[in-house]
Formats: sequence, structure tokens, C-alpha cells
Amino acid sequence: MTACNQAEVLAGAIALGEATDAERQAYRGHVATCSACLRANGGEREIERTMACVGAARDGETWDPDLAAGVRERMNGRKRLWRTGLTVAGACIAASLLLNFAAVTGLVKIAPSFADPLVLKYNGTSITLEHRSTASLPQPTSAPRMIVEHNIVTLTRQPASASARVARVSTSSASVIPNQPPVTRDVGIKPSATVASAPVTNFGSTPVWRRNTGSGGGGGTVSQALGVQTPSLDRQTQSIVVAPAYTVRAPAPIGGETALTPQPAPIAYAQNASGTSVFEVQIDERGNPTKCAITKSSGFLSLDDAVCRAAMKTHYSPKLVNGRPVPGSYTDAFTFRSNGSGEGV
Amino acid sequence: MPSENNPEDGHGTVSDRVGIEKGGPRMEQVYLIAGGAAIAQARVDTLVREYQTKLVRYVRRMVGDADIALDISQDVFLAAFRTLQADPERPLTAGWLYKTATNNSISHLRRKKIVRMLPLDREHETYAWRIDERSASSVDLQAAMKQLPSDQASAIMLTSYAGYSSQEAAAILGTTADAVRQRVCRAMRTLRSVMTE
Repeated sequence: MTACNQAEVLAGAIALGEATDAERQAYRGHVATCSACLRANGGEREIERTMACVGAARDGETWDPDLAAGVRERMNGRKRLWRTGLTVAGACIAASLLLNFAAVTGLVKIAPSFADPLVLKYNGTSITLEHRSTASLPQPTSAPRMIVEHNIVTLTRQPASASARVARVSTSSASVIPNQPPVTRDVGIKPSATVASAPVTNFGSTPVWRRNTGSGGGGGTVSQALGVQTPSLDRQTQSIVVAPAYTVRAPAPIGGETALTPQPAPIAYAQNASGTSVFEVQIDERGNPTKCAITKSSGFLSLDDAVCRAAMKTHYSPKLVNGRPVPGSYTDAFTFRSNGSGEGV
Repeated sequence: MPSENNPEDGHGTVSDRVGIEKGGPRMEQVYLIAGGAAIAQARVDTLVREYQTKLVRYVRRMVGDADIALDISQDVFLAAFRTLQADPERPLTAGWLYKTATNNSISHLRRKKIVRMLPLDREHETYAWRIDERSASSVDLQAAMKQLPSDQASAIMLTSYAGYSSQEAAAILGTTADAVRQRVCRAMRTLRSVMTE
């Protein structure tokens, strides 16, 4: 403990009137040499004068509240509450025991009931429900026992004209169609048509999930369009609403695919470089490219570099989910062919 | 070899040694349990009569509000009642009451710090003090109390306001006497700066 801390303790003792003569002497000795402590705490007289303020405030108080009635009321209230709680708990336990006894002895038959379907799996196109049913069970013979049969039921979404729209969702990873092969095109051949409108996947305003009967049913389901085999059970049709409607518009370069014009470095011509480089560019919610990655290299750094530079220079329309822009990604590919004229450059 | 059931070997049976009664509880014990709440209530009534004024004034200085001081003091006496209900023979001193009151006040001040960020905080000072209590020293003391951390506030209140020595206050606050004196000194410093403003 430093000398100034010790002086604080001594000043406290003086303030409380507990200081001995030796302690008072020690404090006087300290403040005679330590002006900081003298300024902060003051001398003995000042300490006592300050503390007299506390005594004066205490002596001047006249407030004399009566707590007895309130405390007694709360003590009795607590007891009443305790008694009431005990009574209610006892009644609940007795009722529960009585019901259990009646159920076990067969006085009361507990009817089996349908539980809500339990969602097991949801992969974007189909939903698998675990349906607990007791309808097909044999009736209990003696004491009723609860037996639950687990039926796995697969429900598949049926959007309107889905197959036509699926074909439009081609190159973007933001669509619901995974693993679509990338579209390749030659740099030298400019497509005449400009694809300005981004593909839109609309699943309708009232999404209805229907049990997939597995017997055709129009052939327009997403699962059939994708060739996804989903198991099904031959039961009656059942419809439930599971998700709100949503629309997804994939990101696309503004000005169409031709807006991307890779300019390979001269070294590419010298090397007679050819190949296909597939790239994926991340697009933020404003449509600006943030990151480009070559997912499949052409084998030539100059070509890959040119592709990514072109992708990062282009502006995109962002991915829209329910009309709200969100970050997404755009995937495309460029195929370069060399005619051998660059040799010797 | 001493038999377990032989009362003359000085040990007696196991149930005798640990005080287990054979054939159910004695009638006196039954009466004691039934009358525990009544005994606790009587003792709390005595405590309330003896300490309510000092305790409420102390808590009012700590929290700066008369209504909250009444609530906190009632809680303190109710806590005493519950403690005595569990053990009617337990000695409850005024130090226990002050300790509980200090802890409750500090808890309230901590909560108040959070609530103060909301605009619903009402102005306590207007009705916390009676007109005849609004002396210069009282106002100075309360102005200083508002600036003090809770450990310094409880130290100076327990000693120079409630009248405990630094040793007793240290026992209540769970610290040392020197620490209490140091806190009193620092609280006094704040009070002095308020008075000289």
C-alpha cells in the first residue's frame, strides 16, 4: 500500500472519528509533505467539517414510515399463496393419477388420434412427410395400447407450365436447377439475338403441395421435368400449404451475354491457345461483380485471365428474390479456338 | 464385544445416536413445526418495530427515492420472515437487515442504470424528500450520493449515517475495515467537492 493510499485510510478513520492520536499524527505528517493528498482530502478540520454535513442531514430527517401493516399483509399473503398453490398442485396430481388408473384398467378408452405430419426432408422440389396414422391398424383386443405406424409420404410441388420455364433457367447457380452444363460459345461468332431478360422462375401465388401419385398426372411436374424419381404411395389426394409464394430472377449481364468480351493477351495468339474456360462471378445486390473464379480452366492462363477480367468489367442485373435484390452468382463459359495464324508472332 | 442394542455401552442404537424418533415424531416437534410461521411472524414484527425507520431512511439515501425505499425495506423484512420461517431459532441481527438492504439497493441501482436509458425514468427528487428535510446539508449529501459508486455509498452510509464502526460495516459489506475507511475517505472527497462547488 502506497503512502497516499495509507493516508486515505487514515483520513477515513479521522472522518469516522475512529482515529487514534498516533493516526492523526501520521496523517498530519503525510499531508505536510504531500500537497496532492492535502488538496484532495483536506486537513483534519476540513474532513470533520465535511462529515458533519452527513450527521446534520441524518439528524434533520423526520420521515417515519410505518411498514408493519404492509409487511404483515405480505407475510399473510405469502402464506395464502402457498396454501393455494399446494391445493392446486394436489388437485392436479390427484386428477392425473385418477385418469391414469382409469386408462390402465380400461374404464376410459383413449382414442388414437391423427398427429400432424412431420416434415422429414425438403430439397427444394419435393417434400417428404412422415405421416403418423393409426387408421389401418387392427383394433385393440384387450387393453388399449398406442401403436404408431410410420408411413413415408412424398409430396411434390406442381407449378404451372414449369417445364417451359425450367429450360430458361440455364446458366445461373441461383436457379433451382442444379448441375446444368455450361453454355459454350465461340468468341468469333456473335449471337444475333440479345438476351436481355433474365430467366424468371415463378411458382404461382398459391403454392399447393400435392401428393405425387406416380401415375403421370400431366407430366408437367418439376420432378418429372428434372427426371427426379420420388417414391410415392397410392393414397387419396391431400393438399397442404407449406411455403409462401416466391419468385427468383437469376442474375444476368446487362446487355446480354454478348456484353462480355474477353480480350486475350497477345501471348495467347502466339501460343495458339484454345480451350474452354468456365467462370463463376459473384454479384452483389447492386449488380456489381465482387469476385470471379475459374471453375474449369482452358489450360492457358492468358485465356482464363482475359475471361475473368471481362467478367469483372461487366455490370449485371442482380439476383431478385420476390423482387428484392440479393447477392448471387453468374456462371458462363467461353470457348476459344485458334486458327493457327498467330504462330510466329 | 459391545452390542448395538445394548444401552449400557454408552453408544446406544444408531437411531438413538442420530436422534431419530421411534414411532413417529414427538408431539412437541409437531407443535413447533406448526407454530414456526407464527414465531417467525412475531420476531419479524419486533424487528420491524425496532429498525424500520433507520432502515427505510438508509435505503432512501442509497436509492434516492422514498417509494422504492419502502418497497426495498418491505422486501428485506419479508426475506427475514422467510429465513425465520425456515429456522425460527436463527439469530437475526440488525447487521443482517442492513446487509440485505444494501444488496437490494445495489441491485436496484444496477437495474436503474439500464432503465435510465429509456425515457420513462421519472424524476425522483421532487417527492423523495419532505420539505422540512430539504436542508443544505441534506441536499449536499444527496447530490454527492448520486455521484458515488455503490460501494462508497454503502460504506459512508453504514458508518457515518447508520452509526456502525468501520469494523462492523466491514463485516456487513464483506470486506476489511481499512477498505471501508478508504471508501469513506473517497466518498468524503466527493462530498467535499460538491459542497465547495
